[in-house]
Amino acid sequence: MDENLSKWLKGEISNEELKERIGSEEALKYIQIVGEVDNWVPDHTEHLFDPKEITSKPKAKVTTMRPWLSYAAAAVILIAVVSYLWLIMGDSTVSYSTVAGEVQEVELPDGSKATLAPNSEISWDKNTWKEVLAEKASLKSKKSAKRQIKLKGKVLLAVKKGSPFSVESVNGVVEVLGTVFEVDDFESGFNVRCFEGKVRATAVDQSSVIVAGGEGYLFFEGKWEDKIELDETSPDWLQNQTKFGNAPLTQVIKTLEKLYGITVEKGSVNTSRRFTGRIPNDKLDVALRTVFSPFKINYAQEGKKVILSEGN
Amino acid sequence: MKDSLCEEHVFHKEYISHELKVRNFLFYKLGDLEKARDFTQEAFIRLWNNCAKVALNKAKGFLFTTANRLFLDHYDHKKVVLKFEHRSNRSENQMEQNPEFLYEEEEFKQRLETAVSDLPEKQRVVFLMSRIDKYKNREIAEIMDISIKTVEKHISSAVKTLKDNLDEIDNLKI
Repeated sequence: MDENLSKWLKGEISNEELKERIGSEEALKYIQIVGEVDNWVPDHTEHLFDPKEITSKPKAKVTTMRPWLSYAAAAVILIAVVSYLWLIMGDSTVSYSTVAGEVQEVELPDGSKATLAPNSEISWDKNTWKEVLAEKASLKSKKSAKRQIKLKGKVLLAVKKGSPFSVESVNGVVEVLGTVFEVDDFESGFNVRCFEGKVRATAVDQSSVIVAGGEGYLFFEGKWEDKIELDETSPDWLQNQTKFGNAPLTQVIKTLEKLYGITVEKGSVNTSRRFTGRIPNDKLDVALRTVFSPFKINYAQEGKKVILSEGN
Repeated sequence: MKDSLCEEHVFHKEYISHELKVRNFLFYKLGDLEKARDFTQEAFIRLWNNCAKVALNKAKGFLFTTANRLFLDHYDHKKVVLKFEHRSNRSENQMEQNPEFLYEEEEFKQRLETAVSDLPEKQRVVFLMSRIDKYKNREIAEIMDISIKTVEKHISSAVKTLKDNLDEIDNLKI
């Protein structure tokens, strides 16, 4: 009976044959049900919308979209633009940089995400990454190809599983053993904060530390300092403020310069003192006061320049 | 790739051939025409944004997969209530030939709509794609990523459930 019904539904046997095989009464019921549904449509719309709305202005929000849909579309467009940029760059080095006050999200060729803090730059070699992706596709477990990016400044990374991933900067290398972490590279050292998973950070002198989720380490003036327990789950600069815990003034000053696009003349001020606190990312006067007044450091602002001097 | 989805006329052609079928697929799942339309539009926006990465013969798959993902991401466990309209080219005497369920035509339609709405989701979607959108079982199998045998099984189970359901109402009436 199942067999017959199935055959009839596929059009392999006729209504008459179905009646013969399963009885006229049952067959007529099936014929009536299917005959009715065959004549249904959800509505009589011919076209839902004009596709030109999409093709003529790919970045525009379409008016009927719900708010969450526009976010999703924006994210997709961002990724599409980034991949396009990646495709058209002829040179084998790909780089992205941000200006003062700008935060940019970049998708790496393997789908990992890098979020650049203000005034930072990352770059990578396209050819090396091609090998990485090819190796991944061929399922070879050699892992000879490494995912590498170079950093100037600060970046947050959400790394996809795969071959070794590392971030190189002037002061050292950070290799991923896990997922979400941030590297802040400044003149006299670098700071690593790991939000998820684990990373290994190796300084220029080859000394290394393993940084687990919720931990931070500072390499400053040639040595690793004690572990810092993080109480935040994502970088403060994504929330429009920057937090420092026992950070050298050089690191804080560098951050100020990048955030606000200023240059700071340190003069004879001792910048190895430590600062703990939060500064806003969009109010320079508040930020300067917050950082320098506790140390009794005088500061004078002249356009894009800030001149420091020791107070009394 | 000769015909790229990034060319407007190619994209528009794909749009014309799939818009209603994607919308209907979502409607069978959601029971909400307006939401189905919004999700369909979003699926086409995503197709356009990814036009360079999606081969022309994969456009249909991309659309249905995206539609399904949108449905899963925003599924709100509401009971589905489906309403349909009759095709305009329907022949007048069709019902009179098959008077097995002895209701007024409109009543029969309503009872059947309720019974269809109450079908398990997979059965409902596959059955309606087959009967309303006239998809071949092979096409449904591809779209839903199930075997052709499973498609056949869903369709005949759906029809049997509908008949049993209407039989029951019929018996209660007498």
